[in-house]
Amino acid sequence: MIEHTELTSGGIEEVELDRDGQLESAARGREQALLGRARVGDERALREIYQQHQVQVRGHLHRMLGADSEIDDLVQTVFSRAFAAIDSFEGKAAISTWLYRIAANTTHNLMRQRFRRARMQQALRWFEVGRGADRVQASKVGARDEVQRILEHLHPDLRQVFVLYHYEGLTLQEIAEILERPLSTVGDRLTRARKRLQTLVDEVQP
Amino acid sequence: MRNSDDFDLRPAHYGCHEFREDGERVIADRAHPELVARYAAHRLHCAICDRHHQRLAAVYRAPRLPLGPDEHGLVREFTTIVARTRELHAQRGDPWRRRASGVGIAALATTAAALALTLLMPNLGERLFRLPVGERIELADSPDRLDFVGDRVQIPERTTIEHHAQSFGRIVGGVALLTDSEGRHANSDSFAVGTQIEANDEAVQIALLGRLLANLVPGTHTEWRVASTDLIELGLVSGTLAVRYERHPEDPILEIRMPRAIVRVVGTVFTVSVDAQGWSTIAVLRGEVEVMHPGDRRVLAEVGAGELYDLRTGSSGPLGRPEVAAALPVSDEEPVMVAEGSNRAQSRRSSGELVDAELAQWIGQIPASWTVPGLSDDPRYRTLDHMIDPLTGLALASSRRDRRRDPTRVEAKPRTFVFDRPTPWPVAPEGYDRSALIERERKATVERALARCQVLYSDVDTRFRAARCLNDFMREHGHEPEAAEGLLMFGVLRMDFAHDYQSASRNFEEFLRRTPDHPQAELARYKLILVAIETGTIDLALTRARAYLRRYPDGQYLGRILQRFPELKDEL
Repeated sequence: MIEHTELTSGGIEEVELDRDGQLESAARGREQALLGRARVGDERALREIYQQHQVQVRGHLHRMLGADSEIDDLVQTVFSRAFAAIDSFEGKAAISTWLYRIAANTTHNLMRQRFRRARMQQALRWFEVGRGADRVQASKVGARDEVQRILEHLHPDLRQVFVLYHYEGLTLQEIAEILERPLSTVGDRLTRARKRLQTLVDEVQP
Repeated sequence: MRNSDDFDLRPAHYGCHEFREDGERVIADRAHPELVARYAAHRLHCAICDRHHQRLAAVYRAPRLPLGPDEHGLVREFTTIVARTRELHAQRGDPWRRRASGVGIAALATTAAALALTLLMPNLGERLFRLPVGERIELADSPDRLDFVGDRVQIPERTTIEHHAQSFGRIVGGVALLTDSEGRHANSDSFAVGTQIEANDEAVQIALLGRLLANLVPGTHTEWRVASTDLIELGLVSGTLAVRYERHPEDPILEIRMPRAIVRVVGTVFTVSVDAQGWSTIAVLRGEVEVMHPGDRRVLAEVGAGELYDLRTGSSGPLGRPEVAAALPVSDEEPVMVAEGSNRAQSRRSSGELVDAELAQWIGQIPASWTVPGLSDDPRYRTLDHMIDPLTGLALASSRRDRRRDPTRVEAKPRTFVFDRPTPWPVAPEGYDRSALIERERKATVERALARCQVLYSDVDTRFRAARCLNDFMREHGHEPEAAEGLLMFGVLRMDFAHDYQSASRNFEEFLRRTPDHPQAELARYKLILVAIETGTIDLALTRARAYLRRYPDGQYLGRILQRFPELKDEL
């Protein structure tokens, strides 16, 4: 009886796996057809890609950079770069993965600049403490998003992995594919990001 | 013995250091309940660690996203993205750009030299900056630069129906069966409101109020129901109707009434079809239309560019080849020339023949402003052959066998004709007048070239393409006396398809100036009257109509003129 139950249960799982596989392959087929139309310059296909993924791209940029006036411009940059390079996209990865990759490349330089600026401000802040400037600063920064300030002090490479794993809910394998880095590197960065955040939570003053 | 996956038995001391180590595991809900209990206990008596926990938990909580742009903002953003994509394409696709900047100084110097020469030599300036061919030809044989009466003709800002003469439509291509409101068959190319128009074996093109051009595919039955300053209404009983309406802001709205729906148009290019059961499909190539219920006029759907709306199923999808093929004869945009197509079109076979299908590929482009799903922006591929079939996912051009079978294919009729065969320089036999032989050859060459355009012009399916052919003909042979007929055809096309009444008027006048007694002179004079009517220059139309009546008291267009100007009957 138990064996029968186990068999039945296994059978159901297999059927569900099959169904999932079929759904996934149908979705892939639709995506390939959409890409095919987009490659020949069909504007409707491009619009469809934009409509399907603009929330994902906008959300990811917001999670990476926080509330920022440049996000709309960056969304346009990500999609225009994607559409301009759609001919060279072979379609082996999902469109969402590809867009994450372009978004990561697009934001990386900006994040590095901001990271350096944050470190400089931190150093200046320590320098200014002795002159009582911290009290003025505290009142100004009180309204700023505390979490975002903590994340700004996390190295861009670590922040990318942290955001993709904890905020976007991607697996390490998917992140490795997006960042085009070995799985071990991604795992290492995630561990380092977590440890660094433990200290940043105390280091970055509210 | 504990399993390694189980809770790691901690030493009895659980201080701040241990608390910080376990923070992430507890927040991520990956900690053993016993660890969670110790963690919570430490939080209770350590305010600093409690604060640490709250801040760390806030970091691990995904931030709440702000609202994105609204629908209008998304449309605007997508438009910007497409524009930026094109810029990127242009930057990448032009490898010479960087090199060009390197030789910029040389180019600047050359331009400066050319400008200096232009100032010194007025004739050079004229040659460099003279008008395009289409504008130039009218002045070619008029050294004294006579004024063109047609220059008074200006396209009005809004369509007016102030005079009775303006409330007529015209057949501009094909032969239609016209039935007036009293059930009488009309034998004319002009028709009034209330007329039923039927296209039987061939397509028919009609023009209404100077700005609306419609193509009735064979088997279409339509009726012109209303013409006022607020509304133009057509009824589509059966078949397929493609419409281009270049509406100005104050022009009347166009409505097409079908058995089960009304299509309301603000200004666009679209195709509507009605099947035997009265169900409709509406395809939009440019702009947007509203589909309304014929009873309570509630909006059933808004159909955007590139979409096909099926009234029976209430669903939308991409439009296809039949809709584009039906609308092509009302297209007005000049085809974009590309090197590949140009070479192909101008190439001749050894026999001196040019296959019309090759020519059709060159000049049968789908306008760039039309949204056609699956069609490239590259002008070389903007033809019906390159449209992707939604069923097979293939372009027609990819299969020659399919091309022959496709019933919707209209532009590539397999017509072959002799074209401008290169002839050796005539060798005059002894005692023969050599100059007469050369003159005969010259004349024959011009006539053959014109005949090529006439073939396109004479077929209602290909007439819209004759403009390009005529433009080339005029550039090559515009000064020859035999080319005058090309002016007439050019004028008709400019009037009927481009709605460029001023240029049309100049073409007709130049035609009459060159060949006042040409057999087609009567047609040119009638067209000049129509130009004046459709642009609302009624006084000029009346003057021209009176001149026509004096010249041709029994003319073939007499009835049509009196239909529009009944007050002239007394002057006969």
